[in-house]
Amino acid sequence: MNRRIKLLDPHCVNQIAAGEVVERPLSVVKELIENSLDAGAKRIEIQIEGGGTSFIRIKDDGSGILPDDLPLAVLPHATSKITTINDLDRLQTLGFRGEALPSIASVSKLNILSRPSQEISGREIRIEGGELLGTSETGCSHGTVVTVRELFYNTPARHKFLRSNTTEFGLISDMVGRMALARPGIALTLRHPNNLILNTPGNGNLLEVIASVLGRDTARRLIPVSMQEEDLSLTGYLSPPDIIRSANTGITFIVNGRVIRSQLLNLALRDGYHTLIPSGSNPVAVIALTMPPADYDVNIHPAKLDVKFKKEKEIKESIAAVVRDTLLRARPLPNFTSYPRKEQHPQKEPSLNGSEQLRILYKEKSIFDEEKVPANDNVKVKQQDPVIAENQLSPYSLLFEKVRPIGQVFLTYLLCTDEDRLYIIDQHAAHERIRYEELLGKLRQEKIASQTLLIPETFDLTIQEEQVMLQYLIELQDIGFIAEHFGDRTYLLRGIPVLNHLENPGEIFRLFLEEIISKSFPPSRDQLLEKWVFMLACRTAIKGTDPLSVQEMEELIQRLGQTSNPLSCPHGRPTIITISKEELENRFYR
Amino acid sequence: MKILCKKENLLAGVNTVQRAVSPKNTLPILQGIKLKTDGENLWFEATDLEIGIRCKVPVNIQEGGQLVLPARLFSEITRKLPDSDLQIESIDHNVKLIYENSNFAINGFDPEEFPEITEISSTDIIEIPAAVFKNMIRQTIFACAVEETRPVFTGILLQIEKEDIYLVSTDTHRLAYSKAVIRGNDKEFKGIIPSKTMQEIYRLLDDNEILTIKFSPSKVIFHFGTVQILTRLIEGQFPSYKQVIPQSCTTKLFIHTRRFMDTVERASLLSKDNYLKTNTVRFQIEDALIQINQFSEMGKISEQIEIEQDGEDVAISFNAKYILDLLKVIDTEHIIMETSGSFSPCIFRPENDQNYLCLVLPLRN
Repeated sequence: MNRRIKLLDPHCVNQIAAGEVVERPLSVVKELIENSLDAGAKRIEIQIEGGGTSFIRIKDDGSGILPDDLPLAVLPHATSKITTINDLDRLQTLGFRGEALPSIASVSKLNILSRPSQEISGREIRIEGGELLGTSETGCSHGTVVTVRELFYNTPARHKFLRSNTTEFGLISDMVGRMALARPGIALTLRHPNNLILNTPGNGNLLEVIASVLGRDTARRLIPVSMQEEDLSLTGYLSPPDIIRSANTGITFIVNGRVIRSQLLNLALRDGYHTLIPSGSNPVAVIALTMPPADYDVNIHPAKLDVKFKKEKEIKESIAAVVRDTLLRARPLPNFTSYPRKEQHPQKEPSLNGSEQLRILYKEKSIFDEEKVPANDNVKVKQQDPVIAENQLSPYSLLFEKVRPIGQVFLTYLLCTDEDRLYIIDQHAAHERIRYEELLGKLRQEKIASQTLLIPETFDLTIQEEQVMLQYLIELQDIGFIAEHFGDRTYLLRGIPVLNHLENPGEIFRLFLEEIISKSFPPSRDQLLEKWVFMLACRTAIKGTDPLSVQEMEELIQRLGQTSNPLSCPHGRPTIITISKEELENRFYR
Repeated sequence: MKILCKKENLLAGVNTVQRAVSPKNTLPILQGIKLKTDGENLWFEATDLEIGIRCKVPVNIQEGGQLVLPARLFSEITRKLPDSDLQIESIDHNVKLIYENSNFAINGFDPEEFPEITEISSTDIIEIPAAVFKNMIRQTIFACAVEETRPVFTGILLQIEKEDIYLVSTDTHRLAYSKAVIRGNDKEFKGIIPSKTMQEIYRLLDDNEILTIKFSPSKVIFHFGTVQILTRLIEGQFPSYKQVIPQSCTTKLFIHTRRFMDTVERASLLSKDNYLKTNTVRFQIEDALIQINQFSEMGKISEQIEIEQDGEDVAISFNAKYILDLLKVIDTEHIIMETSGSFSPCIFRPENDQNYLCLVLPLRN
């Protein structure tokens, strides 16, 4: 028997749609705050109870909803934000789909109270599970108060999949924090249920919001970053390389005041920090982009968290460049006392036990409070030129010019001074950095020859991999891979790069394809052969335990000064640490 | 167990089997050397389960028995013993070496735990003069792959086809092929012998001996003199090498081996330390000359060698190491080089010898 096709009733449609928009309490909070922001609110108060399932109240001082429009606001696809689809290209508001309120209304007990400032009284509307229960006139301050009670009371399946109240509230506070970062001009308060969790001043100062959200100590050490390029401008703050986190929770991306997730921006940030922090660790960063609405698309998912950019490659490259440039210029020498502890450097090489020992030794002696050394002291923040010039002298070459070696300790560390400070250089890490940059320089220039193979390696590719490979055949040949079609989606690897000690070239070939598929760009030569370059740099660098003459030490210091990033080895560990004369004097109570 | 012997008896046995001991193994017993009496002989045995070596040494046996001693300690003490008569006595697993008026005791392993190096019951046997087989190993072993990613390439293919015996090795960048004749054989066999086994055979084999090879589908035993080497075969399919050896060429050269080798050695000096252009050497072949004109950041070389040329001019690049490796194992005064253009496999063979060739794949740039 054939089942008949029929239209679903609006109530049912709304509940289905709600599944996409209202996934969990977090989504309700986010949608409602966005509505408040779109209404031009300057002050938004959020109150949460029971992780958001039992009670959410958002109060703003925005423009409010006209009394006659109030019943319309909870109808699907009803919005004041756009009228035609073309408005999307000029979109200034966060929302536009007209889905949030009806979706919330269909899965909760909703109460909206609103008064536009020109009206003398407000109007209240009560809805339960999408059913309009009634409206009434009432007195209230101007703006809107939305109260959501018993979320998912009528969709037990959804209710069952919620995490604990603590987890749900954690997600909410994380999102509210990020939204506060996106709108430093708005005063946001978050209460749970009556404790003040977050309170931002709303005076437009991003650093103050960062202090409220990420903590004062972190905020103090952050480095401002900015860039202006045709239609794209960027402002924000970056953590110096010694503030790292194992998760990427300290990273917030904002586009035109909207908090977004973006694999692309993550990659750009990672490229910017590459070799400055150990791989696998994450910086703290708040990056706000301003660009024409037509240059990106947020309408990928109803939650509008993911964004697709039009000029992906350009955006990624300019952000990576400005991040790197800013960090290299503003980066302070790691200071003895403020040095992060051991567990924050997961990428430690086993051969470098000496440096650990010294660090620990020093830690034990550090009886002085860190307060005595103002943390901000050595963060030299300047207004920066965003463009990195090719072959530009390292910002550190001048500093290193004055540094002279005093001697070598433990056959591993160079003690040096420029008469203001004492420097300790790890000779292996320093030489590794020099060799790494030399090798990279050569690798970029040289054409890589191909060793042809008598017995080719066969590869079975997926359809996607095959497409990518065909598209990048020339690039693959440039780095020495010769692939040949064999039948179906089987390919033969007929040639591999001629590089000394290159292990398992077949795997690198696959890596190339996988990188493109997961990131949609071909990896550069450096990225692809990074392991090989690291290995060679390490292998050809002097070891800790090699005795050095004074001339050798001087040469090492000068050449380190000429590298683009003399402060960390390719693995992201420091090459040099310093202690100032004042610090020494302090320690000896002089 | 109680035996009387001389230091050199012990040393001979230890030296023969020692390389089969695995220095790192999860089975501690495999770090041992087994001693076992048998008639008038003392057998030495060691194995890492891939290769097993046994050899017998004549000694004066007073009381039979067996024991397993830690290989490193046993071999070192043996080397350091005085050149005098020795007496070896064992109680349980422990052994006492008695020399002059002194003694040295070693705590051994339980001999029951030592894996049996089993004889194979197969009747498939061939015999080949040691000198011939040794030379075949020498001419092929250098082309084995070092990397373990594709195990079949880390060994040498042993193929017996009626009266022909072949050794073939390849690391996919080059291939070495050697053939010899065994009169009167009608057996067939094909298996990949680990290069470590081949190395041991090469090391222990005496030119004047006759080598007996006994084979079964999963194991091969090599017998010579007082030594037996049992080896596991590498699993997998060796590529059908006959198909990849070109049967014709467009350029055939006749080159003086020694001069060629000296030239390539000099040219490779310039690219030795260059990690990006590893050891590349480029031959420009025209008008009965091989010309090498190369430079690197370290310097430059320009040489030419007179040759006999038959066929087209060609320019072709190789990894110099591969060329040198093969020139070192070709003993004739001249070599023949056959190629069909810059990108095709190139064959090198000794003059007047159809039984050996080495194929090298060119570099493409």
